Amino acid sequence: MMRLFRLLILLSALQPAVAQWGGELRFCLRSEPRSLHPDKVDDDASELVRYLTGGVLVRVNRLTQQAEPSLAVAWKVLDGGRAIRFQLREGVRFSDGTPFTAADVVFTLETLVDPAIHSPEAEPFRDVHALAEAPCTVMVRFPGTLAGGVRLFDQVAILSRRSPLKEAATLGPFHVSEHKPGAYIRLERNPYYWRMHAGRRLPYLDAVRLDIQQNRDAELLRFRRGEIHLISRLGPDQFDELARDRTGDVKDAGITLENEFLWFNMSPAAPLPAYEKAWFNARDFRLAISHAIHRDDLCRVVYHGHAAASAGPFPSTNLFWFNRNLQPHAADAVLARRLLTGAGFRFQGDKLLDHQGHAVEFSVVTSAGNQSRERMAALIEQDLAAIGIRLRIVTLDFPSLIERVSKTSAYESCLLGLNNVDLDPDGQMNLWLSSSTHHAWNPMQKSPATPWEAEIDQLMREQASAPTPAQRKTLFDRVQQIVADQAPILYLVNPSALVAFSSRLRNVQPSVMNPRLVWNIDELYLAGATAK
Amino acid sequence: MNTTRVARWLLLSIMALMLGAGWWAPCPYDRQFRDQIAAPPSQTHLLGTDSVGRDRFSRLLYGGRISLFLVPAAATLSVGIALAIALGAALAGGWRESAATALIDLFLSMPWLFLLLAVRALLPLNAAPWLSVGTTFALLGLLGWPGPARVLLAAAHVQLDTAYVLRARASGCGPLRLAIIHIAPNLAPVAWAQFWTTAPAYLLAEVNLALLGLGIAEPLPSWGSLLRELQSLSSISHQPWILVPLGVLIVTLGCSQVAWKTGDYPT
Amino acid sequence: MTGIPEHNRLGRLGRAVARRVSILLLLVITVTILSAVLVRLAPGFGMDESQLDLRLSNDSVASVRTELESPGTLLGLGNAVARLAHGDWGVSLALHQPVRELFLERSSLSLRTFCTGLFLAWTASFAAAVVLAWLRRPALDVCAALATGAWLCLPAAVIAVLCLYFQLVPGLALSAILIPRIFRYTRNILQAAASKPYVLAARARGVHEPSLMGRHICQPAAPELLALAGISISMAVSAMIPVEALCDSPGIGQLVWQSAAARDLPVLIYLTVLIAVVTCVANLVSDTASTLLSPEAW
Repeated sequence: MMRLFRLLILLSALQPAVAQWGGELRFCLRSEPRSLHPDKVDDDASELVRYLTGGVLVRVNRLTQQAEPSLAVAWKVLDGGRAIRFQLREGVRFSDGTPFTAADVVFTLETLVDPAIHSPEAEPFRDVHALAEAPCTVMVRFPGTLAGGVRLFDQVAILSRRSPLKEAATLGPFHVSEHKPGAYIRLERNPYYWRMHAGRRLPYLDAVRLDIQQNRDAELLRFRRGEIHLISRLGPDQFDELARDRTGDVKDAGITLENEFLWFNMSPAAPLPAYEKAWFNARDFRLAISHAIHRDDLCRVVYHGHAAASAGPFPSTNLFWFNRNLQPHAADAVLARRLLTGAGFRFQGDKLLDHQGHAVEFSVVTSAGNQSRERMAALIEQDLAAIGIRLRIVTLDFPSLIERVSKTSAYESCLLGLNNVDLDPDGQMNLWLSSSTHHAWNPMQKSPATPWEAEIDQLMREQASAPTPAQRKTLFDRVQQIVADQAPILYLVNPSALVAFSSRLRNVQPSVMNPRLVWNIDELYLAGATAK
Repeated sequence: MNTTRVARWLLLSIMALMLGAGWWAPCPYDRQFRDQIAAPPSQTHLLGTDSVGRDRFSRLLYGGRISLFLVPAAATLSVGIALAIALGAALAGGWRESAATALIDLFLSMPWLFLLLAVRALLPLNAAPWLSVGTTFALLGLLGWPGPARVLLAAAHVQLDTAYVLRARASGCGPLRLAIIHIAPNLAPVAWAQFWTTAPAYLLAEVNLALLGLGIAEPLPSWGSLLRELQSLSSISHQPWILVPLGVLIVTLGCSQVAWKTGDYPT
Repeated sequence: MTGIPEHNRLGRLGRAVARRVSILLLLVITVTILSAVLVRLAPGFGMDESQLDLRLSNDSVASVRTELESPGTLLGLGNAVARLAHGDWGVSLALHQPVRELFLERSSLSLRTFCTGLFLAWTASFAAAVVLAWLRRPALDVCAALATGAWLCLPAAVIAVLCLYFQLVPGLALSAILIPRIFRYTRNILQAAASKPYVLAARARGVHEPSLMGRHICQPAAPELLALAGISISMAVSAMIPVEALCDSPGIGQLVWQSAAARDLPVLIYLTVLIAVVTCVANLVSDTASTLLSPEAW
C-alpha cells in the first residue's frame, strides 16, 4: 500500500504543471509612462506598456537573444541586406477586430518617421520604402545595406491603418483598458491575440495591473504583503533582505547589458584650464585612473557581489558580440603610478603633481539620488587618493547633469550608466561616431580629433554594412580593443538582474534583458487563478 | 540635581565631542574599511560601519560640526530677519505694513528651489565642500523668514496694544528704542518657538535637498545625511543602531531648550 | 472710549479687504513672472533624459531641445499668458497631457489629503495645547515640548514610510508633519495669554476653568491663532509636496515634485499661481477674521 502511495506521489510530481487560465497579474511601474503611443516611447515605463500590448513582426527571444517569428511567419533578406520581405501571419486581427494586413505595416513605418514625433526607433527607418506586395506580404527597402536590420522590428509595434481606435487597437497579448494617471494602468487580454495553446487563445492571464509606484520601499512592502506578484528590478540591499526572509522566489538572473562607466571631458571647447585638458587627453593618465580603480570592490561593496567587472561596451551575457579577448583593467596601484610617472607626473608626498606643478584634482559629476552611483563615487574617491589624486564628488539632479554633459560641456569627468536596449552594436553607433552629439568625451567633432577615433568611425561604418555577422563581429571586436587600449570610457561594472516573483506565478524565466520577468507574458499564469 | 545644569553639561559635552572630532574620532570620517561593510557595533566601530565601510561613530562626530553650527546659524538668520521685518512693519503700520505683508506672501509663494539650484550651479564644480554647503544653508536662512515673520507680526500687534507700550510712547520713546528695548524682549518666546521649529526643519531639508544634488557633498558627513539611512524601514529593523544619530539629535535639541531657558517652555 | 459707528467699521473693513484683493491680484502676476524667470534661469531647463538616448540623431536631439526650450522664451511666456486668458493651460512637457486635465484629475485627491491633514493637525494640536494650559503641570509641559521636539526631528520620508507600512492615508502623514509645528506655536500663544495678570485675577475670583479658557485665554489669543491658521495653510501646502511624492499619492503635490525635477515650465507656472492664490487668500481671510475679532477694531 505504501509502495502504491509513493508511486502516486512520484507520478504527480513528474506530470507537467497544467497552466491555469485567468487571474490578474499585478506589479509596479517606477514612473508614469510619458506616452501610450507606441511611436512616442522614450522611457522605461512606456516601453514596458508597448511590449505588453504591441504586436511586432519579429520578436527577439530574451533568453536565446535570437530573432523569432511573431506577426511575420518568415522573412527573407534580399539585395545584399538592402531589403527584407516579410511573410505575414494570416487571419490575425487587432484587439477591436480590425483585420491585420500588410497595409498596416506600411502605415506603421510611414507614421514612425514623422519628424514631429521624434521617435527613437525612427532613425534606421528614415528614407525606407515599404510596399504591400500582397495582403500578407510586405517588402521593406532600406536606402543602404543595414546589417542586422531584422532585429529592429522588435521595437516597432504595428499600428492599424483603419481602426477607429487608432493606436489603442493592439496586436499584442493585451490592450490598455484603464489608465488612471499617477495611479495605475490596467491591461486586459486581447480577445483576438494570434498565439494559441490547446485550442484557446493566449495569454493565460485575464489582466495585468501596473501600479505607478516610485517608492522602492513601498514596492517591497507590497510584495511582502502579496499585493503585487513581482519586482523586476531589485536593489542589492532589497535582494539580500528578501533572500534572507525567503519571501517569494528571489533570483540573480545574471549579468545585465547595463553598464556603469566613467569618462573624462576631452572636448577642446570645454571651459577647463589647459593643463586639465592635457591630463584628460593623455592616454596614460586615463589608463592609470582605470588601473587604480578596484572594480572588484565596486562589485562586492556596492552590488553585494551581484555585478561583474566590466571590460568593454558589452558584457559576456551578450552572447554573440562580447569580445572574449578583453579583460577588465586590473586594480594595480603600482602600474598606475608607473603610467603616471611615464606621462610626466610626479609624486610629492601623498599628492600627485603634473609637470607644471599643478596638484591633480578634479571633480566627477553623477546623478543625485542614485545610491549605487554615489557609493561607487565614494569608493573611487578613495582609490584615487591612494595614487595622490583628489577627486571631488558632485551630485547633480538629472536635468542639470544632462545640461552640463550634453550642452555646456562644463564638467571634468562624469560617472553614469547605460541601459543597453540593443544587443547589436548598431544601437551604439551614435556613441562611437565622432561627429555625433552622443560621442560622450568629445561630441560633435567636425573631423576625428585622433587617429584612433578616425579608425573607430571607419570600423563602425564598415560593420554596419558588412555582409555577414562574422565579418561584423571581427570589425566590432577591433573597436572594442581600441576602446580598451585608449580608455576614452572607463568601463566599471555590469550589474546583475535581481528579480523577485511570487511562488504563485508560473512559467517565469528571468532574463537579463528588459522586460526581465514578463518578456514571455503570454506564457505566464497564476496558480489557483480562475478564468473570467 | 538642577535640570538646567544637567542639560547644560550634557550639551557642552556633545559640543566638545563634535568640535574635538579630530581628537576623539577613532579614524577619519572618509576611511573605508572594505572588509567590514555594514558591520554591527563592535569595539573597533562603536556604531558599526556604513554601506561603504566607513566608521559611523566618526561620521557622527564630524557630521555634528556641520549640523550644530550651520543649522542654528541659518535658523538664527531666518528668525532675525523675520523679527526685524515684523517689528518694522508693525511699528510703521499703514501702507508699509501692507507692503511687508505682501512681501511675505510673495516669498511664501515662490518656488525657491530653483534659486537654490541656480546659485549652486554658479559655484565651480571643484569648490570646497564647505563653500557649497555654506551657500546652501545661507540661502535657506535668507529665504526661510516669511513663515516666522507672519507669526511674529501678529504677536507684535498684540504687544503694540499693551499698556507698557502706550506708556513708553507717552514718555517719548522713539520707534527704534521701543522696538529693541521694549517689544523685542516680549517677542522672545515666540521667536524662540520659531527658532526651535525652524532649526530641525533646516536639518531635515538637507536630506530632501540631497536628492536634488543640493546636499552635503560626499564624503563629508552631516547629521542630515546620516538620517537619510532611516528612509528604509528594513534598514532600521536589521540595523537598529542607525537610529543613534536621530537620538543624538533629539537629545541635543532637547538639552538646548532646557539649557537656555528660552521661555519657550517652563523649566 | 466711545464705539465706532458700525457702518464706518464695516466700510473700513470693506476697503481694507478690497485693497488686499487688489494686492493679491498684483501679487499673483508678480509671482507668475518671477517664477517663470527662476525656472527658466535654473540649470537643466530644456533638458530631458531622452536627449541622452543613443538612438536619436543629432538633428532629433537638437529638435527636442528647441521644443523643450520654447516655452521659456519671451514669446513662449507671452503665448502662455495669452492662452491662460482663454482658459487654455497648455500641455505638460514631461507628461504630454493638457495641464488642465492633470490638475482636474489630481485636485480632488489633494484636497482630501490637505483638508484631512490640516483638520487633524489643528484638532490634535489645539486640544493638546488647551489641555496643557488647563492642567498647568510643568512636568507635562516639559514632556510635551520634548516629545514634539523629537517629533520635529523625524524626516518626512520616515513618516511617509511608516504611513505606507501601516497603510494609512497620506492625510495622516501630512497631519503627522504639521502637528508638532502647530502644537508648539499654539502652546506658546495660549501660555502667553494664560500668563496675563487679568487671567490670574479671574482665577483668584473663582471664575470657572472652562469659562476662563474660553473667554479669557482663547478669545484674546484668537488674532494670533488666526494668523497661525493662515501660515499653517502655507505649511500644509509645502508639506503636501514631499508627502504625496513619498507616499506615491497621485495628487498635485506629486505633480509639483515631478514637474520641478523635469523643469516642466507650463505645469510649474500654473502650480505656482495656484499656490500663490491659496497662500494669499488664506492669509487674507485670517487677517480679516483676526481684525474682526480684535476688540480694538470695534
